[in-house]
Amino acid sequence: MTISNGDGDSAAKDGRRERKRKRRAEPSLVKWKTEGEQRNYSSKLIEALRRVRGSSAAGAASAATDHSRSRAVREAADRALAVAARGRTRWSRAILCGRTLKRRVLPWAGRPKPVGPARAAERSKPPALKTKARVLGRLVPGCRKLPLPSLLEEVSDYIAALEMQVRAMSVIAEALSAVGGAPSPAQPEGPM
Amino acid sequence: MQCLRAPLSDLSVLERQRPRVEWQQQGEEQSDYQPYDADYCMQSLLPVETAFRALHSCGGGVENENHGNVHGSNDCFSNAWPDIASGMHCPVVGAAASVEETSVNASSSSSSSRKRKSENTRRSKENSGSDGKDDINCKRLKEETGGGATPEAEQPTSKENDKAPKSDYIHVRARRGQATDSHSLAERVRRERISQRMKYLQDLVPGCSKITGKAGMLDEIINYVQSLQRQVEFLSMKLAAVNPIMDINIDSFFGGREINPTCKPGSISMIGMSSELLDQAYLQLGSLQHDMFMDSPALLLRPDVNPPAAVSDTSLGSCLNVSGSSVWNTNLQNVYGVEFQLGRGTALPFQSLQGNLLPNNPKMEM
Repeated sequence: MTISNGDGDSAAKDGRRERKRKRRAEPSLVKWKTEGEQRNYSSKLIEALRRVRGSSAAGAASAATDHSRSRAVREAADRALAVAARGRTRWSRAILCGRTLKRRVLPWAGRPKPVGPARAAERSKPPALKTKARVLGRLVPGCRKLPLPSLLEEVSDYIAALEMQVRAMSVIAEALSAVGGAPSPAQPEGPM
Repeated sequence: MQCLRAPLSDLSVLERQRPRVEWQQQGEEQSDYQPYDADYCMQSLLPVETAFRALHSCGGGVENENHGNVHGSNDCFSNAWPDIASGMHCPVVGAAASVEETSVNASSSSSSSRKRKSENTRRSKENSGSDGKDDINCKRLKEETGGGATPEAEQPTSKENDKAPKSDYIHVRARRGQATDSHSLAERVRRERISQRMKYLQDLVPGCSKITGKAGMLDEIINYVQSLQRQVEFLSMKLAAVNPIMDINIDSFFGGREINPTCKPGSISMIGMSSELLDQAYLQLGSLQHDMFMDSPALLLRPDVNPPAAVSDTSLGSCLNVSGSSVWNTNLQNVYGVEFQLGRGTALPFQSLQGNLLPNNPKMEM
């Protein structure tokens, strides 16, 4: 028997949504693992790094304390990552739009549980899930008030992108330190 | 599988059954649900076949039952059977399609009926609260059978059939009708989607294969995202520390690594470079690039490439002169300049380009 109208509509809607989601989710996750994408990201990152270096050099490196420099590098890296995502995901768009939110979120990200409703008063199942979902939403930029299914999708893409970022940055860091440190090559090519 | 597609005419049947059912109600809660269950379910099921079964079970129940009610119920049954048969015939005709299903499911009906029986008792006592569960159970059953045509109409009536003995059914049914099935169905779909994505994430996050349950999975995911972000911070600190030295490093680094062979001149022009020069660069460096990509650190060490230490300004100047990179300086403000140099076996021209980079940074803005 066929589903009733109400169910059919919701099912159709869900089917449409699912189709859209599947289209979005699968290719993006594969793309984060390809070599080409990593190289693309590395080149963008290096440009950004050069720019950061230039800006810090222009400022006579006075304002550039280690902390601010590392933060600038990190923001540049995240922005490069968001560009590599081509703005198809929420977190990438959020990163490109503004970093202030993320900066505000960072101090909270370390906390495992938010200081909200789940303050050890109730640990019943649904709220626990919800609070965890909220924490996760805060971790991913621009995904704070997202419902769980879409949040999970964003998180999976974000995780893949972060992994690629870590890989690329480690390669760059190793190469740079190897070059700067000594003539002997550290050959950490890694995934390359 | 008790959720039958019973037409609403069953109501009359049920009402007819109710007095008989109430008779059985007395013994229902006391012990031995199973025979009762079978009786109930059989009784409530629309098709005549179930009525037959009920008769059989009644016969069997006589032996098992501790209560005289059973006998009474049997009597009731026997008396009621003609009524049931006659009454059921009408709905049976309408629910001919479901008869087969029920016959198929009749074997499993006893076990499910037991479950329902316990639910019934709970409901009879509580009269509420389990509506959601009922809906969910009904949903499950419905979905198993491939959905129902009119869930709201069918499920309540089918449920009602199951719990025909309960006089509370009427109230419960009304409430169940209000707990819209479409909502629960949507909920179920949403839950399935969530579990799908969780499985996907399980593959993504290392070490999550052993963990079952959304809460644990979410914890693992949160930990993993936090660790990745911490790694990025650490690496950015490392890069920032290396940054001052980057003048030399980056140049040598550029030669090997970051140029994307797939980068088209179009994308390059995005960065503000002249496509002509880039094309030339590509032509010259195309073959070299593939080798370069293989091994960036090794490339740096090649004798062809000047050691980083020596690469400083002097090499830049030489590079510039050699390659006529004055034009490059203005146009190629990127790695590609380095590649040119490398192609010629010289070292990094970037130093000179860096000055040009700054004004052009906005163009290269990511």
